[in-house]
Amino acid sequence: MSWGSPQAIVAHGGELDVHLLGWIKDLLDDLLGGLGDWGVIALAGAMILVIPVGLMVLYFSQRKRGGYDAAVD
Amino acid sequence: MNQSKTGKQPLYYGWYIVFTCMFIALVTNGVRNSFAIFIIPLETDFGWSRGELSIAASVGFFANAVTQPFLGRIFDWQGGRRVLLVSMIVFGVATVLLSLTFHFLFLVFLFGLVSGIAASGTSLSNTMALVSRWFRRRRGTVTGINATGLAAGGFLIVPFAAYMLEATGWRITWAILGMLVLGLGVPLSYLFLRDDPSKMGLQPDGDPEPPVEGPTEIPDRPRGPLEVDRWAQAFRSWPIWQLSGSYFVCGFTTSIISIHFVPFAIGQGISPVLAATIFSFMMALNMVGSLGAGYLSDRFGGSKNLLALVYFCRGSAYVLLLLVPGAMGLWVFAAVAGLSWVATNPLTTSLTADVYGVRALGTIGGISFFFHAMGAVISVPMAGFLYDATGSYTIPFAIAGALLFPAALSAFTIRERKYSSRYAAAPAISGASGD
Repeated sequence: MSWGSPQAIVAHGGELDVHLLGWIKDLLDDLLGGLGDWGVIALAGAMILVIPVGLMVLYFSQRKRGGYDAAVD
Repeated sequence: MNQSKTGKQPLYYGWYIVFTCMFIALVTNGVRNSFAIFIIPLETDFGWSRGELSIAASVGFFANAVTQPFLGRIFDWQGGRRVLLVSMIVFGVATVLLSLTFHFLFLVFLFGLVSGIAASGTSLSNTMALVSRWFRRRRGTVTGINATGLAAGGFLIVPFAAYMLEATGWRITWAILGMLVLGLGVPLSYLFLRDDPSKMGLQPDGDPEPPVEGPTEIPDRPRGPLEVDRWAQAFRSWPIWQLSGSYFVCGFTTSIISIHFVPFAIGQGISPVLAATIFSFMMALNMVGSLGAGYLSDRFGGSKNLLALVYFCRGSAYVLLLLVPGAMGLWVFAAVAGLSWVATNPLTTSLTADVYGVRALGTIGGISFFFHAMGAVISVPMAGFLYDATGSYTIPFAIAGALLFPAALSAFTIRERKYSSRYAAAPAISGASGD
């Protein structure tokens, strides 16, 4: 390892090392390899959607019951 | 307090703020972290060197670090909703436009400057400042939930982007990542983010409104003796210097590990894949540490003790890393360092909010994060230089470990019971004063 490139400096709040990411992807391929590229994309995409969809469903169900009359500015 | 038609109390609105802020951290940090997967395709398509691409990333890092206090100031002045919403839109548009990259300067401008500055607006210091307005008693817990978005972004968005890149190519992947921000993050922020519970007729934590009786001049909550209206007042007292100083060490010690842990592990004779596995395990524990530290600080009090313990444990982990050879030392280090990695964020922010109040928290938090970033700027090249000079990571890791014990002492000696509003027994009206 050399001085650490300027890119490397950002790792804590930013970008990870490209080789490390490659190795982590190899791990994921071993774990999820059967799913194929689009299968992993669909799985990760569904997990990403959990928070926004969950929040919207909860909010509108509570609002329907009259829970947030003052919620809208 | 609102009540539904069925007579049940609705979920306190602050929880929507918390999970929206967590999602903002998830998508923005996930997208920023994904930059590394674009390096090889950009090298291949344009013939740019790794060093050139590093310039775009480092410009982004410095733009982000330097502008964070200013974006925090705008947050305090204009309110969190506006800052977060505008920043999310700019961030999303810049990410979509990266799909049109045709020149190196285009990449530096969009990813480095525009996206880097926009990421300051959506940073943890701002989202944590917002959730701190909505919660007082559960401030540690909610800032901990907010901070888990940081790690969750790495776990969800980065693999999503990596597989998307393989399936579709780098241009479409940039566009899809940008659409993720614009199609999910922006609507969610628009729908849910509100600046202050009082604007919705609510109290922090969802508490019932205090009874209106007697003289109305008396504040309805305890106020700490150092609570400030302007950020500069905070820096005339000791606690913020103690917090920022230890935060500098936090940035210093986590960044070294981000970059040098895997090369160090491989140097110990560990295979790259096992090193990556240990690193992933450490990252997974970030979420546990962040949630646990926040919850424990609310449950048992004494945030500064917990913060000191986190720094002490991380320092001890560095000592173990140097003393215990092979995979065992790496696993032990990963367990302890992983738990402590993000745990400092909720503890530092909630303690800052408890001592200085929330009116200038965006700016104060932004300055603290700047200290954190400076720790990172110094530590990574220093470790690389010392490795080149000595052929070993012993000295840089020893320096990192040694710094963590004074950081623990610095946190431990914060006079939390005297200054934190959590311990203020009776309402008091006063401005900031020195220690």
